[in-house]
Amino acid sequence: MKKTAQLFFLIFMIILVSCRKEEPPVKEYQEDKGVFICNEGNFMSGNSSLSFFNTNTKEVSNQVFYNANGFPLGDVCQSMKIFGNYGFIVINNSGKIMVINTSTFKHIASISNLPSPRYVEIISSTKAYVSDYSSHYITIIDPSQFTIGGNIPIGATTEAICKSDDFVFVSSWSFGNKIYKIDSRIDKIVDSVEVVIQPNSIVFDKNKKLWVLSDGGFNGLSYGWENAALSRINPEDMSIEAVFTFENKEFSPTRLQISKGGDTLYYLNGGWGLMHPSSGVCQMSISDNSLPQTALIQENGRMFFGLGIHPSNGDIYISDAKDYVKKSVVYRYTPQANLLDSFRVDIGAGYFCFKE
Amino acid sequence: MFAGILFLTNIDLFSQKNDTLITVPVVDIISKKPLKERIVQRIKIDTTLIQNNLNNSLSELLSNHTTLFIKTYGQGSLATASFRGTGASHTSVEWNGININNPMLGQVDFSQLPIIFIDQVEILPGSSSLQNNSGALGGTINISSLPKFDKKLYGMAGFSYGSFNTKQSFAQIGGGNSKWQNRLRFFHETSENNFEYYNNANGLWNYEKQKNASYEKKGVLAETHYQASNNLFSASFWFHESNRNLPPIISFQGMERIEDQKDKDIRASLKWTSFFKNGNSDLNAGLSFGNLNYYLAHQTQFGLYENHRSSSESQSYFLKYKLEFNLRKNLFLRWNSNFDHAKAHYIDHRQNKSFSPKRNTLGSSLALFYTFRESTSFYVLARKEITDNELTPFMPAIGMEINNLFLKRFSFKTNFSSNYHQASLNDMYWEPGGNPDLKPEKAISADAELSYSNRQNSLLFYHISSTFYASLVDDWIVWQPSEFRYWTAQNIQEVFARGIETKAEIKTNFKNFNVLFFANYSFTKTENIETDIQNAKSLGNQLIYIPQNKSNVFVNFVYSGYQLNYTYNFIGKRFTSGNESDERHFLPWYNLHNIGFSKKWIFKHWSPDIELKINNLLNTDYQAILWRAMPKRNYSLTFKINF
Repeated sequence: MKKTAQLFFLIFMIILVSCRKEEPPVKEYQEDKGVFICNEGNFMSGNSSLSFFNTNTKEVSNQVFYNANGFPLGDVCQSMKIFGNYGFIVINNSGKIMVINTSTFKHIASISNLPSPRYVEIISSTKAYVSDYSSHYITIIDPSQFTIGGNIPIGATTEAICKSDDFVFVSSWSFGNKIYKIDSRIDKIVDSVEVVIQPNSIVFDKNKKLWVLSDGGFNGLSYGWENAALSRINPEDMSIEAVFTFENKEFSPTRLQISKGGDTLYYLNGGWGLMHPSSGVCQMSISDNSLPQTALIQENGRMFFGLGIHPSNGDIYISDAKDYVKKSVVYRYTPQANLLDSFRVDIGAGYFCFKE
Repeated sequence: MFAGILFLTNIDLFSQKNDTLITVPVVDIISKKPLKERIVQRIKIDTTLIQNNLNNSLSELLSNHTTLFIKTYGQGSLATASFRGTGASHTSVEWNGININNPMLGQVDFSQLPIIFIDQVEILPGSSSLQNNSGALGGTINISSLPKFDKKLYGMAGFSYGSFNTKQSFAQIGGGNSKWQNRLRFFHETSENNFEYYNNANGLWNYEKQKNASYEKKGVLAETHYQASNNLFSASFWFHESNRNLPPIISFQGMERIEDQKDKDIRASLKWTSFFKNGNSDLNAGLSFGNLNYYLAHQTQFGLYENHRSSSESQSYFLKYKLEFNLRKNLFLRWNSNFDHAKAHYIDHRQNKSFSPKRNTLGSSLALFYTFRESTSFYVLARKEITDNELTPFMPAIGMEINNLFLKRFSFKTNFSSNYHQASLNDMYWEPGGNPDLKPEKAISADAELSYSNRQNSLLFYHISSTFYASLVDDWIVWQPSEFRYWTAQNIQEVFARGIETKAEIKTNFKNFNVLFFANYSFTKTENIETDIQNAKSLGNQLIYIPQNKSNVFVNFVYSGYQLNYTYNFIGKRFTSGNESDERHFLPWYNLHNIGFSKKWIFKHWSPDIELKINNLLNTDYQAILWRAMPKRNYSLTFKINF
């Protein structure tokens, strides 16, 4: 029995030993130009992250936020906007915006207490608008003080947000089919127009016309399922000037972007691996009379999820999210669709934010 | 790493029944085991462990005392099992003979199965589960009630108060005579569950209180048993209800969010067992109804914004017949047949849409056990099923056991099987994305166990066993993004799971001093097999949230009404996404230590006891699931009276 007791004691001693986890090392980064990539991660998993691609050295750094700060971004990194030295990273399902220094990636502030933020548009040094998926208003924040200043009732959820002089245009995507025009001097809606359901992205062209991409919902969505459409709107009187309807109802186009010159539109067509000649990155001139029949960069079995156009050289950035479990791959193409390179980022890379 | 000390309780040698005082009957362990109990792996959880976890759920019992890995979101929250490297729907739970897995989700929430309602827990891992039914690619857990025909009147009432304002009350009363016995059990638990934790996920680096995690659960179990001239009739009825708030992950800093889940379950089982000259038969009819309501809303400046409001109702009906027959002294036959009907109704109230899937399954299996020279036994089993007019491929199993090897102390058993698991109703009929063309998931499994026991000795008993297993699961169902902008269920993953389970138990008893020592260790390597464009296969990543290493130890000392026990739990590193190489996509290993101390007084007609438990003794900060808060050191005090 004595031996047994000794054995017990020994086992106790072994298993009582436990040690602490160590904090990750903090890395410093240079002030080069580059591209931030928002990796959404998996909904409810809190595994979103930020990657940075240095366009000078062609180096890619993953988990730059965590590595600089020792804590995670949160759940679903939706989008990012740069204003001065500040990067406003929208963490949709954590109800907050994380503000970082875009050179050091150091966390500066958290703008919290938001319902379900999606995108930020900077109006001035003291005012920015935040769209929201789970409320019927735009939240006004102060991008210098990092505080919430108020809200603008919309009456619907809000998504894409785009400024043109004193006016801000907002799309309502979730359970929505409208584009709202807000006068940013008085923070009030002044006009709106109905488009095909679920307008997910909007851009201005060089003629100051507003382009709206509606995905039309999907089969089984109670809100409806329509053919997707690209619409051109005159922002002055909010009249619809042109509607380009996607002929295949299965198409679910997203991520409308525009070239630096404001004359060429880009978007992702097909959606999630649909094998079709026009699945992939589509390119369309603002003067074209119809939608392109074939994609500029074919999806080809990949799962295109994010799209960005470099604002100065026009390079096309596409992410392949694969199965949303594995790491995404970012492909860089020239504006002529020649592949430059590709690199791995993190789970669910969906949004590109260019640091100039 | 501490070395492989590992164990469990294969043989219920030390009968402990309802009190913690141990009597030691001298039993011959191996050779007297009836033929039908041999070869197949059946792990019975020691009654001491069941008694010791009386105010816990099956989640804690399995997590702390078996090789099963329980993925838990914390006290009162969803807890699912991963057994031998498989998924949550691959572990089935049968209560008094009826399957209680939710037919929509395919899985069981182990946090909703209170131990107070369970007298016996038996685990049939891997191939052995085919003895019961098909589909349990990981294994089956049988939980059951045991009638007490020797008692006239007995009962128990208890109350427990613990940290985070956790209150439990539980009671049972039973009685009757040697022919007819009735029993009623009751359970109620509420908790604010507002524990303090260190938040390292939002940059504030401070201690916060867990929010929106309170819960309430309650249940009633009523049963009646009647025995008359070689017949035993049993009827049991179980009602369970729980309301829980679901806390956000700890990086959440948004406006208040309201998320909750309400569950209601009703289960009933009728069983008629008939014993005859060379065998017995079981006729079992049962039902299991489930109702789950889920709600999610965001607080906004203009009131609540409702994101999701849904209810799922399911109804399962079961009819089973089992015939066990000794054809000869060394030849045993078991014939199982079952008809199951499941239907469900899901309503998304916000989107105003619904779907109502249903399924019928007819199955039958025949097993023959044969033994020669008392030490070597074999079985062959064949099973066939029809699900919704589709024939499931043939499911065979074979096994062998050799006893009395090397000084009569070792025994060896091995099992092989091919098993199929039907997709859950959600996998097939969820809108959008359910795939009615899904094939059943297919597993080919093998295991081999070597065990060692000492000879009979009333002072010291020990038993050590080690099992190696391997399973190849094909057509594993995964939800994938589809071309239609929503996710769809597809039979696309192939998984190779293999590992080692080692168990040990030591029991000593001298001069009223009893010591129990149980330990388990499991090594689980479970990887998806990736196929490249040239169709070449390679092993991919360890499946997420399944630790390669898991271990636990339980030590119990009893002396003169005093009891001291210690539970140790080690959970190894787990990957949180399918990217093994990435430094951020894993959770580190952690250790948990729990201790309990109790004193029991025994009077003529009643015996009160009081117990203090300290969980997470070393105040460890840990996460079982990424960015989900877990409580630090916490306490509970339980008063109980038995009569």
